[in-house]
Amino acid sequence: MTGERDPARPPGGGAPTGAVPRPAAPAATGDARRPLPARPAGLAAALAAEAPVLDVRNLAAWYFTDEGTVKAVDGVGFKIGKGKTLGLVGESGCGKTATGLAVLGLLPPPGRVVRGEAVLGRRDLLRMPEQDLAAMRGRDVSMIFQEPMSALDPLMTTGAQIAECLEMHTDLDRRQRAEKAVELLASVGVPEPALRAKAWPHELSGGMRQRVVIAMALACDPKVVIADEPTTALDVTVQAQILDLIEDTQERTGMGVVLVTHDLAAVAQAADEVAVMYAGVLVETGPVKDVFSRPAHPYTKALLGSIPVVGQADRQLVTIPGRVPNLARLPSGCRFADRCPLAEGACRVAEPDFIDVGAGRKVRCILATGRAAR
Amino acid sequence: MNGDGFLVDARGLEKRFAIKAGFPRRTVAEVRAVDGVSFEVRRGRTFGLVGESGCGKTTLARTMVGLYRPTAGSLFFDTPADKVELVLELRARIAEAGTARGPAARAELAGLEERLEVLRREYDVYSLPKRKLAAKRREFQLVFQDPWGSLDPRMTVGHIVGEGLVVHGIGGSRAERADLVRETLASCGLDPDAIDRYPHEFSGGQRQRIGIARALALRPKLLVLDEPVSALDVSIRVQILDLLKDIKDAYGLTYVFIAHDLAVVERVADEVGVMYLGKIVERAGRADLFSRRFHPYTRALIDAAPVPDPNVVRRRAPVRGEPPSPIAPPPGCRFHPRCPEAAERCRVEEPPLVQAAPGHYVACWMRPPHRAAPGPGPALPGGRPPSAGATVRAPGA
Ligand SMILES: Nc1ncnc2c1ncn2[C@@H]1O[C@H](COP(=O)(O)OP(=O)(O)OP(=O)(O)O)[C@@H](O)[C@H]1O
Ligand SMILES: Nc1ncnc2c1ncn2[C@@H]1O[C@H](COP(=O)(O)OP(=O)(O)O)[C@@H](O)[C@H]1O
Ligand code: SF4
Ligand code: SF4
Ligand SMILES: [Mg+2]
Ligand SMILES: [Mg+2]
Repeated sequence: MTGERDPARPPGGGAPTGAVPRPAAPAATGDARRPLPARPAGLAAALAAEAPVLDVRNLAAWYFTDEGTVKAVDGVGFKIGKGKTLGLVGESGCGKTATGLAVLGLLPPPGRVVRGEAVLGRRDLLRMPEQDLAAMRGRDVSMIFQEPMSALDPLMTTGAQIAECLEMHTDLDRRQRAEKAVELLASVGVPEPALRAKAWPHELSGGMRQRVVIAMALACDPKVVIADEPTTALDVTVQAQILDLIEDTQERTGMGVVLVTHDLAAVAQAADEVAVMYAGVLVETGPVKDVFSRPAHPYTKALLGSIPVVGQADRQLVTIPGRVPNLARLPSGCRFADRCPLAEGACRVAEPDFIDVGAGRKVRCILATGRAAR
Repeated sequence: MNGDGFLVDARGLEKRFAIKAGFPRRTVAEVRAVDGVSFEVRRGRTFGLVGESGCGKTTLARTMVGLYRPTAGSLFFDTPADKVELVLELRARIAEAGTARGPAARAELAGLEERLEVLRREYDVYSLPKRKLAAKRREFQLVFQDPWGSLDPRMTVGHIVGEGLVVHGIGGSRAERADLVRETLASCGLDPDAIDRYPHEFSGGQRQRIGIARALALRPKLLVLDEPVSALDVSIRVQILDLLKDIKDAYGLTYVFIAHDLAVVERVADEVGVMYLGKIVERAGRADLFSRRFHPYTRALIDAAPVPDPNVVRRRAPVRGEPPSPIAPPPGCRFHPRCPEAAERCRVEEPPLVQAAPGHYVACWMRPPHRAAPGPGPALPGGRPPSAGATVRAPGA
């Protein structure tokens, strides 16, 4: 079965059910069609052989704007195991950044977390006094931002900024902090780190700035890092270096990583699990290998089919018409229906449930999960 | 070969920017953004240009359409092939005669230079008299890199797309121009009624369509597309690529397509140039370039591009570091500080861009004609051509 797979195959235009392969794992058939029962908080973690380092459940974070309520995150859940990477993918504007910001309590107004939990260790980050959360940020969980310049203070040298992080979270003295800052710069591949520690952010190239931001995020060996499009602004040759860097750190410290990106190729190469997000909700999750070889949701399939790959110029790219809906005025029923080649009447009646189809996979599509499930 | 002829013939294009500082302001350094670039584009074809950020792609694009004055070089646009040949021949003879002495040689040199000048004023875009240039300009248009920054937020879409028509005195009356704008918007997949709306009301993909419509409204022969899809989401990217294909066929256009993504270039280009730090380091027909991938930098670009297949183990980054500053490019081969194959000679002597195989040009001391061609790497699944050093994980498990 694995022999003839083509991960980038466009979805067939023909018979709907035939075009949506069911997850093929034989063990899945037993409980595949049953809707997921609501899990009591904490139970899943307790049952898992290895507790996740970060467990986000049913997270909703909305922006209350004058034009209406933008439901940027509308019930999102995922777990990250120790040393593992979860790729959170989707088109721009589907709520990836808002998810990361919400978990860290950094959502800017008019944004607000309206429900959910984000359990790190034993504590829920979303129900923690700001003071405690501030202490955990950087030390236990940190974020690498999309645009490195926004994470850096233009009025401080890179060395001083890293030292400031260390001052907040460690009891190193001044000189030790300065030394550690140089050490960290060296560890993220900044050439001449002692010299670069004295440089201002604007004096560095994009790739170098991103390395500095990563050095800051990793300064205190956090348990989890949320990396929001860490390589999007960089050249491919530098992208590969940054992915190496994140992977090496993970191997060394066992940190869990949420790799937020719109680049499915980066997910294929760097993540263990993937969560595909569309218009504020997850539409498909599972192990990267399974999801990429047998995508179940029409959106996942279309995304995979739309990526140009070197050496496959003759393959027709999948065109996804239209764009992500306005999150303040969502259509009723399936959020993807307006762009879905397989949409039918039933799709517009109610939002499909996110159904456990076995083998660690979940799908939100009435065709992929079978109508029996509803 | 010359039946369809070249629409564009760029020769030794060079654009330097002076960096000024101090008081009184004086030039303290020079950025060699484009440093001697030559290529041809056949009528009706697409020339793809790839390279990393800062290698000079945008500068080259802006120079090509006349937004920058080149420091040196010429651009023959829509010039009969025999005239281009004649120019090249004259150039070669002038170079020869320049070293000769004596009054006879001087007279001959003057004669050659005069003939060249006549040809340049007729055909070289950079030497055209003002009025001729203004008319010619309509024929090559630029689509800008940034769909957000390149549209004036205070102008309506109709105004943006129709502005060029006014400048070039096309379309006669106001009403006729409005019709032309509507028609162009429709060709670009936009609602003709968008004419009265403002750019901020549109998504990134739609703005890119507006930018394309603005260029297309003048019914040019050549579109220079500066990273037309880089800033867009994958799904929108495919929509714009489809659009570009459609209008190319419908309007008989020729493209210079700039990108940093080789996979995109492989889809759209007939001929590809790979640029590094202001120079073209490899240039060939698409199939040759992607199958031979002679230059180590081309290889690095291909190998670094992540593949959306979890069964292909990601390779460690194929090259170290980042492109050096074009203010002080490294001596010898500009790629040598990052090149996995760099040898002693590479550090001191700059490799010229020379023919390594028919129609395939490479600037590298370790490649033909200086050395034998490197062997291919192991085969990859999914029809990927071999690439040096990629490893494949057994599928399944
Ligand atoms: N007006 C200018 N004055 C001085 N330097 C400039 C100017 N425009 C560009 N440069 C420099 O010239 C070099 C080439 O820039 P250019 O914008 O052409 O690169 P590019 O290949 O288009 O990059 P990107 O992929 O980031 O768009 C860079 O080093 C840039 O900093
Ligand atoms: N500060 C804000 N105020 C109002 N809406 C916002 C704000 N930031 C983001 N949004 C909206 O929230 C949605 C999700 O945005 P975001 O999380 O940034 O998406 P992504 O990271 O997936 O591109 C979008 O519709 C966006 O317009
Ligand atoms: S439920 Fe949504 S994704 Fe599934 S077939 Fe219907 S419209 Fe498409
Ligand atoms: S000339 Fe030398 S340094 Fe330059 S690309 Fe070739 S091998 Fe590398
Ligand atoms: Mg984002
Ligand atoms: Mg550019």
